[in-house]
Amino acid sequence: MLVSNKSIFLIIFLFFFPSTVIGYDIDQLKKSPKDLRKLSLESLMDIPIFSVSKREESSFEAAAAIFVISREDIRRSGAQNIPEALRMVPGLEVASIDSNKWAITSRGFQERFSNKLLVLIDGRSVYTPLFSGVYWDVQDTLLEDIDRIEVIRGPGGTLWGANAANGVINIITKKASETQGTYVEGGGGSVEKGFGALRYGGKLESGGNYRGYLKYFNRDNFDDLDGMKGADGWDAARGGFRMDSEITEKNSVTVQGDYYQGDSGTRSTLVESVTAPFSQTADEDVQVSGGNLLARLERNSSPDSNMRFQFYHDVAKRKERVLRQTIQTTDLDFQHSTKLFQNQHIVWGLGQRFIVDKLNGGVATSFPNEDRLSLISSSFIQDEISLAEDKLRLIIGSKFSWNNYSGVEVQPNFKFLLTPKDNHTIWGSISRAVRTPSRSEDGINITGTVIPSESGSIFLKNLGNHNFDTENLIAYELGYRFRVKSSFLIDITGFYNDYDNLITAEPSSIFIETSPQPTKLIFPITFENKGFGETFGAEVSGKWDMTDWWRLNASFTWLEVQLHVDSSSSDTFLQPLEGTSPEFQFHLRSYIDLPKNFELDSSLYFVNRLDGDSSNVGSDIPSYARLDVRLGWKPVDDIEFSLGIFNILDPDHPEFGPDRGGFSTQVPRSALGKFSYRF
Amino acid sequence: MFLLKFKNSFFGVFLVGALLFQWFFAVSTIYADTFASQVKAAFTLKIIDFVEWPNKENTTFLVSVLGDEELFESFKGLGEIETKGRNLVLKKYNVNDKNKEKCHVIFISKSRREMLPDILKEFEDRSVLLIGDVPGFAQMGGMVNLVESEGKLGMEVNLRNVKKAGLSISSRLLRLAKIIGN
Repeated sequence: MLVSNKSIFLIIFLFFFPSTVIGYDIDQLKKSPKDLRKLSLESLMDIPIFSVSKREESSFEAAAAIFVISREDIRRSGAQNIPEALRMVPGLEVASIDSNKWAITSRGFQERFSNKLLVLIDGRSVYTPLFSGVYWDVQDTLLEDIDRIEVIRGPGGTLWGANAANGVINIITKKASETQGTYVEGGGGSVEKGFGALRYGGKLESGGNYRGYLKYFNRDNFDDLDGMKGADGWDAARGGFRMDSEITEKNSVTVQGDYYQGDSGTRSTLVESVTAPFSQTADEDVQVSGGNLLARLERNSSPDSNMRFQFYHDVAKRKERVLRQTIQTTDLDFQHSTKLFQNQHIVWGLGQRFIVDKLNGGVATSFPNEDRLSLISSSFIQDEISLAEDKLRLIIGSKFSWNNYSGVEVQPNFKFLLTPKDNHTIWGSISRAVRTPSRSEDGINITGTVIPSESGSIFLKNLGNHNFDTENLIAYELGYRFRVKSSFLIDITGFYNDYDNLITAEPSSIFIETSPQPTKLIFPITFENKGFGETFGAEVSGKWDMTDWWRLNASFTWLEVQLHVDSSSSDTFLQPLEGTSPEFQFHLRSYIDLPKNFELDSSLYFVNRLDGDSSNVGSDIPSYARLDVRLGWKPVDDIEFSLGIFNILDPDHPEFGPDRGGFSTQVPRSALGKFSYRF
Repeated sequence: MFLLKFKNSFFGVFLVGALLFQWFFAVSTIYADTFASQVKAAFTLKIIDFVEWPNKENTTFLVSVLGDEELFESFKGLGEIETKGRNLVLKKYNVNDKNKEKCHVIFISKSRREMLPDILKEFEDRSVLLIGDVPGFAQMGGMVNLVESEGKLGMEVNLRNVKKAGLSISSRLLRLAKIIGN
C-alpha cells in the first residue's frame, strides 16, 4: 500500500497534537465573542468557564503527582470502605493489616501509623496528633456521597501544612444538591456480614439543599497467620448531614456533621501487671466513637477569586486496653486566592488549630500530663506566575507554622509547569516538608516488654522525649503527562526524597526503679532524631478508553528506600522500615459496559514481597497477586444490583505483618452482593 | 522578635483574617465574569436550533432574558442573531408585558431566581422554552438548565416539562444532556 510521506506526517502530527483540529482558540474567542455563535453545542460544552472553588486545576495541568478517584471509580470498584477504594491509586501503598486496620502511605515508611501522609475529609484533618497517623477504622462516610478522592503523592507541606511530607489524601463529598431524593442500599457477603444505608435529600425553604444519612455495617473476622479465627471483627453505625445554601449568587455556606460509634476488634499483647506473668495477649472490641461539625463560608467573586472561611470541631474517642483517649480538635482556617496583575495568581491563608486531649493509660502506658492543649498556628502564601502566554508557569510559595512541640516550621516549595501544547505537561518541583512531633513522641511512657529475671525483671520502656524534633524532607520531583483527546493518557513521575532527623529509638543504660513497688530494672529507649535516608522511584500510570464501552487503567510503581542512622545511634527500629514498602507494584483495571445495562469490572494487583522485622514492624510477606471482579446490572436507571468477588486467586494471604505489639490476619477470598435504589 | 510576637498573637492574626474575609464578603462584585456569560448566552441561542415549536410563528423568534444588565449585554454582544432562517429578537423580560406569552424562549439567570416560582407557574404549558442558569431549575419545573460539569458547561433537561409544553427537542441535543425525571 502506498501512502505519501505527507499524509503519514499529518497522521503523526494529529496523533500528537490533536488540539490543533478543534479549531478554536479561547483567547481569540474572548477578544471576539461573536465567534462563539459559530461553535457547535459540543464545542461550547468544551470551553472551561467555571472556576471551581479553591483554584482546582485540572489534574492534567497540576504541578504534582495527582490522581483523582471519581465517583464512578468508587462505584465500580465494589469497595465498601475508603481504604479499599484507595487501592486503585497509582503509587499508593495500601495493605490490610487485619479486617479493620490498614497500612497506607505513599513513597515509603509504610506501617499502621504511616506518619507522613495527611488525610482530610471535606477539609477536616483526620490525622491523629497523638500517634502521627490515621485510624482508618473511623474514617468513613456513605461512599455513595463521595464526589471524588484526590490523592497527591509527594510533599504538600506548602499548601496543606505539616505531616503532608509524602502525600495528601483529600476526600470530598458531593454537594447536597447532588444528593436529592431517597437512596437506599444494602447487601452482604462472606466478609461483609451485612450492611445497609439510607439517605434522604431535600430542599430548604429558605433556598439551598440538605441531606441526611445513616449507615451500618458488620464485618467478619479474618483468619490469623496460623489459620485460626482472628479477633478483628468490625462493626460501626454512622449518621450525618450536610446542608449547602447559596446566600447570594457569589456567596455560599455549607454546614455538615457526622456522628459514629463502632467496635473494632483487636488482638494485642500488652504488659498488664508489674509482677509475673507481666504480659497478656487478649482480644478486645476497641470502642470507638466520635463526631464532627463543620461550617464553611465561601465567596466566589469572580472565576479568579475565591475566599473561604472554615471552622470545625471534631471529637474522637477510643477505649483500648493500651489507652483510653479523647481528642477534641477545633480548627479555624481562612484562605483567599486571587489574580494579581495580568499573570499572577496568589493563594494565601491563615489557620489556627487547638487540640485538647484526655489520655488514660493502663499499667503499660502513661503520660506525664494526661490532659493537654496543643496548638498549631499557620500561614501560607503561594504565587503562580504565568509566562510565555501561559505555556510556562512558575509556582513559588511557603508555609510558616508554629506548634508547641517543635516551634517554628518553614515549608517552602518551588515548582514549574510547562505546557508546550494542550496535551503535554512537564512539571518539576523542589520542596521542603516536615513531619512534626506527635504527643506520644513528646511524652509517652510505654512498657513494651518485660524480660523476667530472678534478680529483678527488666522492663523495656519507650520514652517520649521533650526535645524530639521535626523530621525533615527535601523532595525533588519531575513529571510528564501526555494525552490524546480525553481517551488516552500517560502520566510519569520520578522523585528523589532526602530525609534527615528521622525518628530513632535510642537505648540508654539500665537503672533501678524502687518506687512504685516492686523494684524494677528499667531499660529506657528514648526517641531521638538520629536517622536519615533517601527514597527514590518512579510511578507510571495510564488510561486508555479503547471504545465507549471498554476502558482500561494501568499503573506501575518502583520504589527504593534506604535508611541509615548516625554513628552515635544504636537504633534498630528505623532500618526495618526499608522493607515494609513494596519495591514494585503493578495494577490493571478494566471497566466493560455490556449490553442490557450490565457492567463487568475487574482489577488486578501485583505487590512485591515485603521484608519486615517481626520483632518490630511488619514481617516477611511473600509477593501476591490480587484479582477483584464485579458484575453490575441496572435493570432501570435508579436500581442497581452488583455481585463482587474479591481476591479470587487465593483462598487467603497476608498483606502486611503485625504492627508493633499487634497481630495481623490474612485477607480471604470473599464475595459480596449489593443492591441500591434511588427514588 | 517577630516570631515571638506571632506565637503570642495567633488570635490576633486570625482575627485580622476573619475581618478581611468579612470585608471582602461585604464588598460587592469587583470582577465581572463576562466571558462565562457570553458562552452561556451563545449556548442558549444554540439550543434553539434543536427545538421545534408547534403553534408559533417560526420566522421571528422572541427571546426574553431575565437577569442583570451584564447578562443582557452578553446576549447582545453576540451580534447578528439569525439562525437557520429564524430571526431572533432579544428583549428583557418584563413582568408587566401583556404580550409576554408570545415569546419562544425565556432565559432565567440565577440572580433573578426569586421570580422563578411565578414564571414556572405562568408558563407551565404555554409552549415557551424555559432555559435556566439556576441550580435545581430542571427539577423545579424548568426545561433546560445550564449546569457545571467538570469546569465546563453541561445541561440538564427535564423531558416531562418539555413535552407538557408541547415542544420537541432533537435527540442530538438530548445525547449531550443529563435527563432529569422520566
